[in-house]
Amino acid sequence: MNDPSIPTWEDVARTHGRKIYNYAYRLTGNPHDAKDLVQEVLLRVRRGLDSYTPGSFDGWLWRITRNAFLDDVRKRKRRPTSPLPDDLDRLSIASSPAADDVLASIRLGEDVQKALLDLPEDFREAIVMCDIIGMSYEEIAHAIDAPIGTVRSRIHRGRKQLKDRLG
Amino acid sequence: MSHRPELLSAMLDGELSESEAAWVAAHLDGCGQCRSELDGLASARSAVRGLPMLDLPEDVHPGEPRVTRLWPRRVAVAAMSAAAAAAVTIGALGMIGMASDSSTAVDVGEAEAILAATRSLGVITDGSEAAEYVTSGATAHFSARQTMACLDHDALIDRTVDVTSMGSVTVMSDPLSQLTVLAYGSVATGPVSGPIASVTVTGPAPELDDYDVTAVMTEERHDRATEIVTLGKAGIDRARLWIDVETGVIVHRELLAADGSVSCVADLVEFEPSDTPIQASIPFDLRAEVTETTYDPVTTEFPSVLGGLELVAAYPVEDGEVGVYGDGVFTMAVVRVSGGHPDSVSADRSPTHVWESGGASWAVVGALPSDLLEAVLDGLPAPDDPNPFIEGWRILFG
Repeated sequence: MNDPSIPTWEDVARTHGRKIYNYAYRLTGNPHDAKDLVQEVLLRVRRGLDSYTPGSFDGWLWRITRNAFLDDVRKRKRRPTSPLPDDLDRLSIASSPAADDVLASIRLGEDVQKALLDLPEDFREAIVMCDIIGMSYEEIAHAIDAPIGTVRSRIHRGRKQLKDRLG
Repeated sequence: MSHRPELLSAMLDGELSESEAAWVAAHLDGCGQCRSELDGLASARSAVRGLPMLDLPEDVHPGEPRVTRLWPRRVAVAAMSAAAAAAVTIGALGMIGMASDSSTAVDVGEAEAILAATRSLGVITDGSEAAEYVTSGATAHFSARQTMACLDHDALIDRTVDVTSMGSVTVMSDPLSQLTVLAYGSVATGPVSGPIASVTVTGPAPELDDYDVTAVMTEERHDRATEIVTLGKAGIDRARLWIDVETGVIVHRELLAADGSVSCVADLVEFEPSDTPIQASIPFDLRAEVTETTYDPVTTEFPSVLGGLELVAAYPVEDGEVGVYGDGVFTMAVVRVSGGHPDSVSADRSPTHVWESGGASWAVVGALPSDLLEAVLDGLPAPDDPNPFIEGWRILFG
């Protein structure tokens, strides 16, 4: 465990916790599920680090993250998902040009998030890995255990559907 | 000219080979349809990329692993059988009980400290109802209800029992069956509705040393601070415990199969700790009713190890015997009754698994990760082939 190419668990938690949270949040649209997933992934990483052999650390981490997410999805299959909060009215932002911009960007963000959630899971996953996490196609292919051609096709078809939904 | 729209997204991401990029550039020059497509894809891509990066919520605590407050080392490890209207304190108690005088926190290295704390975990198994409850046997008094569900056993266990801990006495009662189990000190007693006897069985201590114990992180649970501790064997997580930081009581447990999936979940709800003893409604004088008898393990045909769990106690019941297995973390009982329908084994026990083999009825009672349960069943006589006539009769006439 003294190999400098292997991060400590604390490093992982610090540097990757936020990314994992964003990944999960964009896939689920639900902050509670996203938080649970971060905890779950960190638990698995903690155990797995002992047996981790130096290699593509990010690939390894995202495989764990993805598996944890899929396990969670399976567990929750029977449970209705909680929709996004619709009531933007609760956001009491004073009416000023700057506030309007903020509000507009929140609305836009919500629209985008809703459109993401409407995508088939495979497409959504590929898009989130690419555009939210900033992974290369090769990294995504490694994480989801699929050929690069599949990644390319999923991202493209996902974007096409997003474009249609966002008008 | 053919269009290759799937290349357009890859181009935006800089993921084209040189030759592909050259082809796309040339194609776009002469194709308005693809240019328009590209614009749409680019705006969809920007929209997603423009989503704000959210901060990790503050109540996720992936900080330094910490050792939580260690609870006093005074516990009972017990299993009981309602069929015998008796209770058994299994062998682990011998080991834990002997080391149980000190109630001071352990100030050795972190891992050893947690391991030492884990040694004091009590496993109180209401073998009769397959409700297993791990407690610190702590001096914290509390009342709660325990819900438990095992997701992938053949028989779904999904039940709720009332739990009251009064220091060294833990009372578990099932509102449905009216069955009450008392466990205190080194003795657990039988259901209050039946004759009360208690039995202490001595046997070899299970190997707790096989488990790695790690305090991982903290989490709010039912508005209380809990420390998550994992118990792993041979590099595989087998259980996760959510330990209430203030009282040391385990408020949530998950049993894990080897592939990491959760087999069983037990949760204490309406957990109410108290500094002062809580009066549970015990309809008789505990001290007056309990008698202690000690059995050495009887000569038994049960295997000495099943699914990695050691036989720690065995005792006779009417027309059969019960073997209690444990490894310090998991506890289960095997019941064998000569003759009769499996119902005769399952009555009052809520077994995880029941079958007939070689003229005897068998049952496994207790919550186990699914792969351990499989290994346990593999080590026991295989079920007889079902008799189609009898099966048909049962389907038709119950």
